[in-house]
Amino acid sequence: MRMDFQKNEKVTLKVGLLESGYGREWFDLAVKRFTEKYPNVQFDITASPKIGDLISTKASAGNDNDMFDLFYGATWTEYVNANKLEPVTDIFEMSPDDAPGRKLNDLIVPGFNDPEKYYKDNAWVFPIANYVGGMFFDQKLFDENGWNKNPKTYDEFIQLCEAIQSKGIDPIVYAGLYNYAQFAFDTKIFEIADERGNKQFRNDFEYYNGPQYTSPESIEVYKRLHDMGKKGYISKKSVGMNHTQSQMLVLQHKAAMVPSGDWIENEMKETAPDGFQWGYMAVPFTNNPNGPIYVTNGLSYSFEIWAAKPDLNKKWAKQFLLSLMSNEIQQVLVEKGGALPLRKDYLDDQTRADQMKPLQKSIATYLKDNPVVLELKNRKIELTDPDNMASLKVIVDNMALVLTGQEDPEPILEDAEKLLQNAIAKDKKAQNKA
Amino acid sequence: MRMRTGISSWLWRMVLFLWALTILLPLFWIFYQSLKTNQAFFADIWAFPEHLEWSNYEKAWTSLGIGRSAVNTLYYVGLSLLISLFVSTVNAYAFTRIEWRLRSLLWSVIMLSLFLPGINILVSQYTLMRALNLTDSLNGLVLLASLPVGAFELLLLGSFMRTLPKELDESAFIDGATLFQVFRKIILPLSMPGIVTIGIFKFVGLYNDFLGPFILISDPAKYPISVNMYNANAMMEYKADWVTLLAGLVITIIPTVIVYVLFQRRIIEGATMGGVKG
Amino acid sequence: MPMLKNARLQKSIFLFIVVAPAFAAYVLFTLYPNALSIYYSFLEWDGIGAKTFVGWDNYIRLFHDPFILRALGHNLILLVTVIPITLIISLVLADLLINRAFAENSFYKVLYFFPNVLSLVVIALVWSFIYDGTFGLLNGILRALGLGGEHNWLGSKGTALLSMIPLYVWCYAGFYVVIFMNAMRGIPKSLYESATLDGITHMQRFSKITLPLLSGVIRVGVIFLMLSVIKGFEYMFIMTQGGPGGATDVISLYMFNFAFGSLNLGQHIYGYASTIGMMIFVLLVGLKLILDKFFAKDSIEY
Repeated sequence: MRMDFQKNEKVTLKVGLLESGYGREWFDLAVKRFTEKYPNVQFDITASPKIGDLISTKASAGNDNDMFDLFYGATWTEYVNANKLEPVTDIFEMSPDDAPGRKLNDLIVPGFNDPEKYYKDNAWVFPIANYVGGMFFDQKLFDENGWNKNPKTYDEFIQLCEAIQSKGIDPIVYAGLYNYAQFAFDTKIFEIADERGNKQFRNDFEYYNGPQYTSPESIEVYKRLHDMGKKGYISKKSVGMNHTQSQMLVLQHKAAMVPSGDWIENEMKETAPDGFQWGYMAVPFTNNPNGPIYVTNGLSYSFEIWAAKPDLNKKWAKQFLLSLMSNEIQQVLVEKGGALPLRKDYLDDQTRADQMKPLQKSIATYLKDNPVVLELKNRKIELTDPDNMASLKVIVDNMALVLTGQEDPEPILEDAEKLLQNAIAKDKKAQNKA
Repeated sequence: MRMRTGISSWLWRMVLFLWALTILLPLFWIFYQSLKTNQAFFADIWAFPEHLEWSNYEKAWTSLGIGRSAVNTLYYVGLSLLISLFVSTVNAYAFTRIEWRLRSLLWSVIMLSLFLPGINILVSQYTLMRALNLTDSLNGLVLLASLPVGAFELLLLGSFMRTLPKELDESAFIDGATLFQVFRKIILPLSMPGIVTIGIFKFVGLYNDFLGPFILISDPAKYPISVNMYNANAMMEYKADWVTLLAGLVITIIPTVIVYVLFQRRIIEGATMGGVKG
Repeated sequence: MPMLKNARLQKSIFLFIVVAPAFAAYVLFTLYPNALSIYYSFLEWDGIGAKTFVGWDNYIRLFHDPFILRALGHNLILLVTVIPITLIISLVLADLLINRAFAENSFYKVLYFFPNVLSLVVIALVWSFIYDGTFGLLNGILRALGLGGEHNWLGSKGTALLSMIPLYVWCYAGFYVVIFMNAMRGIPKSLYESATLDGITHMQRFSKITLPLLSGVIRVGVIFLMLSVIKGFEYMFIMTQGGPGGATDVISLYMFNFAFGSLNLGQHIYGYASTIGMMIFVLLVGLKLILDKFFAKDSIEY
């Protein structure tokens, strides 16, 4: 698909940019490169780590003229349901400048694009960076103690926890305040379902068919986590702890592993003590040494385009998004921002591969050496009834207590399930009415 | 006038000291953390710094854009404070010391705002400001922050003015003074401690207010310091750089403390004037 | 009577110049956006899509929602502790600062003001480290005294809410010390001087003269504290997220989570959030009316 790009079309793109751990060097460079090539396009950038507040205020205020053309994509299902977003599906059919003749869709690492992309038959969110979740630890500490840096099965992981505990160190600590455990355990339900041969599970999950929190897979996952908590593998200190406190314990070697995303090395780059070397592993829940191990991943940086903008703006916004996918811009994101490359051919260039940070290399190695499935816990139906929020609240409120072995999982899962089923029933009723 | 001294006096002195300690220790902690490296901060949050990293302050100064935003802050806070103190004082006078028909109704309507929860209020305010073409302008911010009479200020200043004897105005009116003269020559000076009290808190409120400026201003060159501080706080979600944040905090609380000390002096003058009336 | 007519005219001009613009601005910028909540409370609305009118549905839900009562219970605990403790501490401190001639008082007057100027995030950071289960200051002190010191204060259902009380008192007292100090300065010295001649003690002076004269300001203080305690949720939001197990979930935090799509859900439920807001409004007005019964308005004038 080719579009016509006239350099006499004067356009100003208003951008709502998230200032995150990736910094903004990559974006400034991208803008520079783009305006060199298309001097007719100007950028009006508002950047903030809290840009989401500004975006939602402008979106709710409903003044299309005042809204950003291009903005960080945090919430989107609500926007799609309200017909506020421009589909970005066609960008994946276009070719980046540095890979003529090849569709962008075929250039992106599989699994880094698919799961979150499609809703109501279109892609709405353009990916800039994906995170990989799991357990993060100090490789040096593991090497010194001869601990297993790559457990292949659930039993091996439990043995690792025992070994760590026997040295008087808490095996796992996490930011219980924000339920950071999700980064390591969110997709374990799919792993259990896979091991048990439940082929329907993913579909049932996506469309809310049958029990959700009280499905056998979900109960199994929470029981195991609860057991780990009872044995002290997941430290009780996790309850009420924020990410700063939990990561502090890992830096001080008072705890061995912390669930998080791959941004952790960049986030903590000024704080880690000398010699500290971040490493990565996923937590296998399967006992089959051939896996597969399900790894949580998701968008950590993305853009959306506002639908009610002039076609000219939208056309140039798409062209600009495509330009972000060049390996040159990717390289700044990877090297300065600490992101994982989205392009498959990024690592073909040996110098780029060498430039990767230790943690990025560790993740790349792990993904290569293990039977990994990159998975995201997303659904195809949006529930709007407040009972859905209430059921989630039951989970969020109590999860830290369950994971640290202080509360039994079943009653809590049952409470949440009851509320969720209410929400499903009411939402189905509402849909029938409409 | 000397009170009983002795044991009880020392006990009370101890109470004051203990409370001071609960404030001094956190302040001291913030200050010495701001002189550590992030590495040292994460290694032991209570330990004293081995080397004093004054460069944190340089970094905070640049990353918070203090030089650039100082002028904006001065303009926004200064002008808003002047206008809102004027608005509050004359309204407190009108509502507590003049009799008029709709007085108690309007008073109740203003007090309502204290009790309203303010859900989604920002969006409506934003829409309004946009419609009036007042977004992206410091003058618009000043207007929003100072013109609508505030229930808090009115209540506090009103309760202060009510305690002034009624005979003060009455005798002045009999002497032939106009309403404006009574306000300016009698009520205003006597209310000084009250005005200074709300002035202090209005100042703190304006100086730290980030949400309004953040939402209503889109040009970073017009940001007051509070928005930059807010962004720096929010960055801690992505980047563990507490020492620079704390250095920035130390820099940004200095103006407030200076203003407070100056205001306090003004209060004492006001109080002495108040003492004369007795 | 030309004199009176003139006075009337003066009054009208003054009121028109002074009250009208400020009140109009108040209605437009403060009251109107707030009052929209009443309308929202009858909607099902995510803040961006279509607004669906749902009648009393949200209000019916309110009465069946078990989290509401739990949250209000937590607010009640905070109300009955934070308000009296804060008032007593700040009144005593203000009196000591104003009416005793200790050399260090002028330093304290500035120092006590500091909690008002620290940012929320930093206060939350400091107190999180005070209560931290591993390297917390409180545990350190308890260990030094041989009283245990292994407790996870914010991470235990039994202590999380109670731990918020000292934090609240610490934050609020600085504010009321300043207010009470300035109010005490407004008390004519002559009142004290004649009393001193009668030979009364400091304590009597505090309870017989200062407190009654301050009753108006104290009443305002009680109302403000009530408003802060019920409307406040920021420290819970940063430090406990209402946890663990909902032990620190307060009503405004509960409302906020619906309005701003916290809980990682990214979903906004403005309708129900506004309904909770309306309930808070009714509750606050009711509490204020009850308070008015306790404190007769302007009971003491001089």
